[in-house]
Amino acid sequence: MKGIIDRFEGDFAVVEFDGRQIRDIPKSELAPGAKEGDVIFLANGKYQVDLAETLQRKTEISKLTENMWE
Amino acid sequence: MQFIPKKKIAGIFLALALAIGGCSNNAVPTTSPPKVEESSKQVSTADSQTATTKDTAPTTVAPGQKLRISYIDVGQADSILIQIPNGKNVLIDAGNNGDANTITSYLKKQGVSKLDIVIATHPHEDHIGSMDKVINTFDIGQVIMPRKDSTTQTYKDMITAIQNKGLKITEAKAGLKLELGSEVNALLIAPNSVSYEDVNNYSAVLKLSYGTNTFLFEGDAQEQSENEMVNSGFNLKADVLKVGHHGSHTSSSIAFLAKVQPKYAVISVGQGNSYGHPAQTTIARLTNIGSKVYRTDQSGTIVAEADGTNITFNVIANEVQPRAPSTTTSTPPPAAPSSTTSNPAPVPASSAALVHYVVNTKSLKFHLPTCSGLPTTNRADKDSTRENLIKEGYSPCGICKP
Repeated sequence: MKGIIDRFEGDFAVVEFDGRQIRDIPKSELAPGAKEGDVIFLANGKYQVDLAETLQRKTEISKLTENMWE
Repeated sequence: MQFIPKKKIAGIFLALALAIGGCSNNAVPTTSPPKVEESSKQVSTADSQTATTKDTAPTTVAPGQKLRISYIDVGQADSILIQIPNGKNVLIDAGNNGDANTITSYLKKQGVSKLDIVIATHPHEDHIGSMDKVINTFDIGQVIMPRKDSTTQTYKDMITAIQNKGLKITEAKAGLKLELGSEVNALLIAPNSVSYEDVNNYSAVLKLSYGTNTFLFEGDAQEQSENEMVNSGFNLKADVLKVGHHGSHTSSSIAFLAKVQPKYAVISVGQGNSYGHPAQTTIARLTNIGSKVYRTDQSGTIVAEADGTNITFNVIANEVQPRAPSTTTSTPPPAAPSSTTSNPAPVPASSAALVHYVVNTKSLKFHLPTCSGLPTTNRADKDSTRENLIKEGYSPCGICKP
């Protein structure tokens, strides 16, 4: 079950899971250094960052939007 | 929901208009815009084009025609519909993922079939959640967004919806004028930088004039962007402010609010949200400068109607009791929308610089009325300025740091 960090609000990361389900995850449950836009997954009680998938998503999105701007 | 009879407050506004007639705290030298008079004096487009690029000049409006702004109740999120008498519509943001039906059915009820301009202030899910559904449902003229990607599916779905309509995106940046006809002047006054560490600061901030009425829509702009707006030379003064970032302490900096001087402040926020929005400090700052505060968590959808001179709301502002020492951390109960005909006069701009403080006449400390450590004995209330109180020998409280 992977999620994407949409934003941080107060003590929470607001995370988008499959099917655009939004859940608040306490910051304390995130691996240190997790940032907005990172793809995360639960391992050993903490949400770790999936670096490869994060990079893949970033590349995919910028490709999608590159010709969208006037 | 009952609208407050305008007749009752028109007199107050007239008196107010006479009292403050044309005074302005705007430190930015601008060409003084032509006054809108009852005789439909024409403001030529040349005037409004050249008046200044740092402000939205007043416009000429037809008598009795109203600009209608709905701050739609989408819980802990933003979605604002602007309906111009000429039939043009603007939507700023589209709530969370779960708000699609709320937004689309509200828009349809208002008779909206086309959104001439859609602004996605910044790519967070509480602002673009239902944007894909909105774009799929209505005829869309122009899409304006800051140039900042997100990796979420929510964002991807919005981009796909824009693509499927064959639309391009206009980049949101300070100085962009919106083409919405002669009844309104609309200008983006942020973002002023190309890149930010915090995505909230990419927020597109809109200043809108209709007649002599002015509105500011702040998205989630935080202190960094607010400071840029303060230093940019834009005229920030506005009758109604959509408060930044759901009233969070990250926004509504003192310097920014001092420039905006909103008579009315609208906070779009969810009841019992987990983030502590709105912050008590934000509410205190707004009430201290004389703003009447409206909150969607207390009033539901808030509708403001402007006729070019006066602005009326469909609900009663939350009347904060400034003299009641706060003993709990909970906010005062919401003022139930009632059919009362009294609408307290807004604080005239001329006294807006005065702030209501509570002082201890023995210890010579001064406090904000919302401070948790207000004196129970030797207490006095003063409408003054921080500087004046310090001159009089008072010192600021260490708890509320007025």
